[in-house]
Amino acid sequence: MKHWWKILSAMLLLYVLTIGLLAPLAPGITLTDTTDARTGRTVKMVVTGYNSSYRSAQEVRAWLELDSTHAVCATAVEALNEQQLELAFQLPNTLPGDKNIVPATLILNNELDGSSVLPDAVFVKRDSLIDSTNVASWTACAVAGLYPNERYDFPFRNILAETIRNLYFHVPMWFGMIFIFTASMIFSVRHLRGGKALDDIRARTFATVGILYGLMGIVTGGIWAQYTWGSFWSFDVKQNMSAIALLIYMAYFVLRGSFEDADKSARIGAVFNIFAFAAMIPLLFIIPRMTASLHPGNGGNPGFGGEDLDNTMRTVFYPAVIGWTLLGFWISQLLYRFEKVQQQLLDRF
Amino acid sequence: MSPFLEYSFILPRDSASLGNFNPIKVMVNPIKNNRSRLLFTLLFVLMSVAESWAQAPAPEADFMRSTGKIYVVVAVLVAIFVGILAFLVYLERKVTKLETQINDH
Repeated sequence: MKHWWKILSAMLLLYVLTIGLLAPLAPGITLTDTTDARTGRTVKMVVTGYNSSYRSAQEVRAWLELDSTHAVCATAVEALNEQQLELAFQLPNTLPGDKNIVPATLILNNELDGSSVLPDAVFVKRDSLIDSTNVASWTACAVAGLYPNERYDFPFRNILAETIRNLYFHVPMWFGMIFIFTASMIFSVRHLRGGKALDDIRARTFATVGILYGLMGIVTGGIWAQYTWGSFWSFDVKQNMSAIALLIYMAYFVLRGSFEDADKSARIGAVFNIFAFAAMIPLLFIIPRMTASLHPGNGGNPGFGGEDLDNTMRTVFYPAVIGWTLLGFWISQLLYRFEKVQQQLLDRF
Repeated sequence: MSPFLEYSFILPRDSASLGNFNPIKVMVNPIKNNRSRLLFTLLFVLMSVAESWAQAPAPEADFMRSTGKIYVVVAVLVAIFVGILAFLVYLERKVTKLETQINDH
């Protein structure tokens, strides 16, 4: 069974497409109709949820949380329908600390949805007119006794929403590209050591498919960024560095094309390919981590996890990386076999 | 206003009024072969589509942001499909070239 890895690639991608697109998002909060409040007053708001079950749930609870020790719970909770919830909070007379405006996080919890969070939902402003009969306190009602979410679903992130699924398509393009370029570099080294023409064809075809993956990574990233970061290209450090890495690899083909002599083209191309790989590592793995970046896992925080890649997502993400990488190797192999036949025919005539 | 009035700007009914000068020929002639004509048409269509996206209505209201932005995932999948399609065309052209070379021998 020499084709096992192609079958594996197809099966994994089928699994990724099915589960990656069909598994639901965890319940979340899209927006609230009130964003500012004053101390000592009652704040009322209608919350709009996503994939939520406010009406079916028996026990819907809500908190406005300033920090880990200061929170108030809702005094009235009414589900208008599954997606809409009317809340009322009685805010205490004063704010802890000395800031005059403090952002509060809205936390919802019920036994069907588990917890959903909207950071900076309401900005609480210190009010000098104090209602003396108000006995509400920031410490009377702590966020506790939360129902967990036990379902198989992907995290709800406010800016991302359903686009969190792009993790299974955009990111594996880059992972695949790196594996393919690594293979290309290895065959370039082999070509320099043994001088075999076939090793050079391998290196060349891997580089072609690597560039294809890189371009697909750039385009899919741009589309994703358009609707999350606000523009196709925001000159983010990782965007710029990956574009430079791709341009270096494109220069590989320009360089090869500039030699008349096939042997010379192959040898100098191999040297350049090793250089391109060595340049790609700092461009993609080191420089983006040294400065602030819109990409998660950058800006001094290598690797990403938590809500950006939780354990549920890992069950789809890792198969996606393997599947897309193997597909890239499959495509490269087709191109290699074609170019090998072409070379053999040219040698014969 | 009659729609013909606008067209008459580009398409003079009596070409004699302009002598030998035909603006339509001048416009179309630089693009000689059919393939580049097709490419230019596609480019213009794509540019106008991009333009209409750029003038999209307020956020949260447009199509791409509806239903939890799920169509962004669709667009990403389409982009990957187009990439693989582009590779198929590239490989097809290489194979065709080799086939013609073999047939010529």
